[in-house]
Amino acid sequence: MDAAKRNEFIGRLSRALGRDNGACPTSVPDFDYSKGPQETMYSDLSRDQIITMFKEECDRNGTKYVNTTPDKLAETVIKTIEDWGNGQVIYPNVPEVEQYGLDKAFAADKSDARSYVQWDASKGREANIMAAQDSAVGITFAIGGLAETASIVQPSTIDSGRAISLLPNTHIAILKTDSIMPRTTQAFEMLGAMQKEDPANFPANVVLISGPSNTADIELIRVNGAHGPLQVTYILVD
Amino acid sequence: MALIYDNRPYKTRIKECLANDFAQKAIMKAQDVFYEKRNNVVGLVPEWLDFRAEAASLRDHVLNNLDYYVSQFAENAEKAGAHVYFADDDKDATSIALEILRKKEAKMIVKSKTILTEEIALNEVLEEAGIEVNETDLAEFILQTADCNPPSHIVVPALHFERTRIRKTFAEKLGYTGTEDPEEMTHFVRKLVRERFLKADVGVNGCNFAVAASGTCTIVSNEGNGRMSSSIPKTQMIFVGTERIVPDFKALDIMMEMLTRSATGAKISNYFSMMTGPAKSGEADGPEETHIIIVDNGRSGILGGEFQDMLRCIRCGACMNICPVYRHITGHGYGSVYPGPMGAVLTPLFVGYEVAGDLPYASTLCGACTENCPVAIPLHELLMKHREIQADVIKTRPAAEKAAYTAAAKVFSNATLFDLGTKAGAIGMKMIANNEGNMPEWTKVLPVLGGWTQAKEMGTLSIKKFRDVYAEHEKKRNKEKK
Amino acid sequence: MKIHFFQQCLIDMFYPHVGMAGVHVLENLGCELTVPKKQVCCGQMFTNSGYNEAAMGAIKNTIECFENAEYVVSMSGSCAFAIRDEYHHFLKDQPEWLERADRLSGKVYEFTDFIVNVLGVEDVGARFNETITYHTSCHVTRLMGIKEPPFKLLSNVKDLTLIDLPRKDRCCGFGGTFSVKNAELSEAMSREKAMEIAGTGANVVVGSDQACLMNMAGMLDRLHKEGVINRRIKAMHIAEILNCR
Repeated sequence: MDAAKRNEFIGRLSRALGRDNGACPTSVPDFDYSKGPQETMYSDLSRDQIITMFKEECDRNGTKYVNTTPDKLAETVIKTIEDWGNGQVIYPNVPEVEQYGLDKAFAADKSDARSYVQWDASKGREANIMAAQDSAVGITFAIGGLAETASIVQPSTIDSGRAISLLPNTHIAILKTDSIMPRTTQAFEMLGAMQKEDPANFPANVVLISGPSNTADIELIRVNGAHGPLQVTYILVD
Repeated sequence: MALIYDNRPYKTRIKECLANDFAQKAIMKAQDVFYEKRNNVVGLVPEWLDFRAEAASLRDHVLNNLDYYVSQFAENAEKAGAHVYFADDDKDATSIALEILRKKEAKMIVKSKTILTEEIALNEVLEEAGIEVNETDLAEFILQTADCNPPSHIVVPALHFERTRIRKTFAEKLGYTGTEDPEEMTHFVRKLVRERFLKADVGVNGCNFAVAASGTCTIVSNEGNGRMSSSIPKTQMIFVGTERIVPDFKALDIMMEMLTRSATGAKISNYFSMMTGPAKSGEADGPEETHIIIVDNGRSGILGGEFQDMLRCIRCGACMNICPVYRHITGHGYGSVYPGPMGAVLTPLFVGYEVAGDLPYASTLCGACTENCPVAIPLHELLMKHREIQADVIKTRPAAEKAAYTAAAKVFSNATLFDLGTKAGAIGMKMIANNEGNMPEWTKVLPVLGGWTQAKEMGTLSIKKFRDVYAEHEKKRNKEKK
Repeated sequence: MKIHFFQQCLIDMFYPHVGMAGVHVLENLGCELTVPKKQVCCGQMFTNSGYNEAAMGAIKNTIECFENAEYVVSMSGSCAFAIRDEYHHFLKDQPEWLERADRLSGKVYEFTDFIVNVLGVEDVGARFNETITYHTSCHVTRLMGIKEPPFKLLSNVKDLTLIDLPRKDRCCGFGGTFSVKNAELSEAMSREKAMEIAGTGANVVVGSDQACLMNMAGMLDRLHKEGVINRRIKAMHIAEILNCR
């Protein structure tokens, strides 16, 4: 950052605002958020109601979801891959893979219709991006769900790159039902707290995903699969 | 695209737009679809007006402390590892961009949709320098393929292109051999643009909201091209309008919500990307370098002045989705990359009255824009303010117009003059003849008296004025009382 | 109740029968009317084009005519809006006039708003045997926020059938001097409005702003003449309906 340029630029704003001596203040009063309705929206819903809302919204969005339990997760994942027509599958290098036994299940999968490749940052940029590009299915673990919009909160990390949920035609996101929050308000609160607590380790990329990529740019007709995935399934783990 | 892409006189543009049946119908349909969808999602939030009031005061809070927040944003973005630049104007912004691209020896870039880069004519400058620029948003891609045809809407810019024309353009320029089915054409573009994403040296993005507390830039998108251009190329360049700041994540929640609900009537966009600095060391994708260019280009001149409210704008397009004038003249009637009511207020502020002084008159002042605006910008009042300034302050309106208004206003402020000047018997028939003949010059600016256009009928005129009829009634009534 | 009657220049010039309908309705409801002879125009058609200085004469004349009233009832929503809500801005640099304008502001009512919310009357005893539709003019409805009163009044008119006008809140394309400056554009907007009115099947379009009504009537008549609309659709001020027995 060019300090002189910065001062000139900010100084122009300060002068426009009529600041004393044209100086930028070193602190400003916090904005009072208490007047807005967002904090209290859906605050009276039970866990069950929140999960129901998430599912109903999935139906409206054209996002598929399946319910499962931790011990059945690997089986459900393979079944979902099969439902979407099989092919190469790319999955992240995160502890959950071993925890839920996905690694063992993939290794044991004898079907010729499916092959598995794991994200491996140590192999470098080109190899990982092309592995995702060549995959039909990408699997990620989301850190949260939003009931009002049937969205997931998806950070990227060294062990789970952006490309996994972006380049393959099918995205399978695994989401624990107890991480489903009422709405964006709670998600942004969570992200804000994460960032504040440990700015250095705050993910460089977090995306809220709400179903398959789409466009309506031609005569307002909705088409799925613009640039991102054509289809999305959330696997909800109780 | 430069900010002003059509320099022809306002009247010429309007005439042409009114004659374009397809574009008008497309915009009408879009308005109707968005109107219903917006009302539905707004209806789902019973507290919408509280939300709106909070969003407006949040925007005011940011603008009133913009120096502080821009400064804070820049500092935190840099802490997160981004390079931050300050651009005073369009030329400054494009030369900063060019400098970065030269350093990276970039030959080909991919862009997701950003109006700010159209405002500063980035594509033209880069192409001039021999850099291949690829728009990736489907609509922008269509317009670029059709030789940079200007956008007709800020959210869905290629609405004025019917599918037949899109197919033809793709066939001629890209060798497309498929049908005109939107899905088939979309998937054709998907494949073609995917190659470009994978090959591009630099990804260029806009920024819907920049979070001061964390230095985060955010992009709203449905297609995923925003994610692509910020995830795949090694270098990322983000253009941020100076006023695009939110203090923190709490604010981001409110503003994102107002944007998507107002823009397309969706509760949320398909993707909402939050990018904080470049990829962390060791990550195998995402940008290795992130360059953030904060652009003033006239914004500091609006700040602190009588048009500051306009800087609340979040570019959702809600005002044009409801505007009855935009409905008929489409984006092309405005000749600016900022069309509709927001464009009619903003464009003259950016380029001056000499170039865009006519735009504020493209409104009936019906107030629908103001009512629909998620951040409560008093758009129709600002349009009036532009008129006031041109008529009374800088006095740049044509002398004949001013003379006519002044003369007419004199007549309409004095009952005796009014009575004499508007004797129905004296002017009635001439009125029907559309103000041809020897009516006083001042009548030309007035509705009805000024010629009722060739297209409307004027009913039978009354010989007596209301005041005369009432006087008789009053006389009779008083007599009865006695 | 003593009221001052703001006739609107357009009604004065072209629609005396509308003005008289308003007079009859109000008198039948027991109002004692004063119609200042000096009144002409609120000035809005000049201020809407930015000519505030030129409009000063009209604005001050209006203030002088009505400042001593208890209530001012306007036959036109847009004029009521100008006097009630806009004068303050135009006179902000003239303290003495500003004070007078502000005092006047609180007394100004649009016709239907006055009947329903001041007189407390929702049934004026009218009878009108016709199928109508209603256009909610922008100034009255959106800018003044008067949404319910006309519908309350119409719902009590005997023999009347009201059909909802789709997008009744969309501007008819008049916009005062807009219709002169942007004649062709105004035409396109009015045409769409007229077609929507015709599509309801109603034989009369009703409103509470004579300027919009004049505009819609002009287009409805033209489209009828051209054969685009198969019947003559009249435009009537709500006062005319309320004055029918």
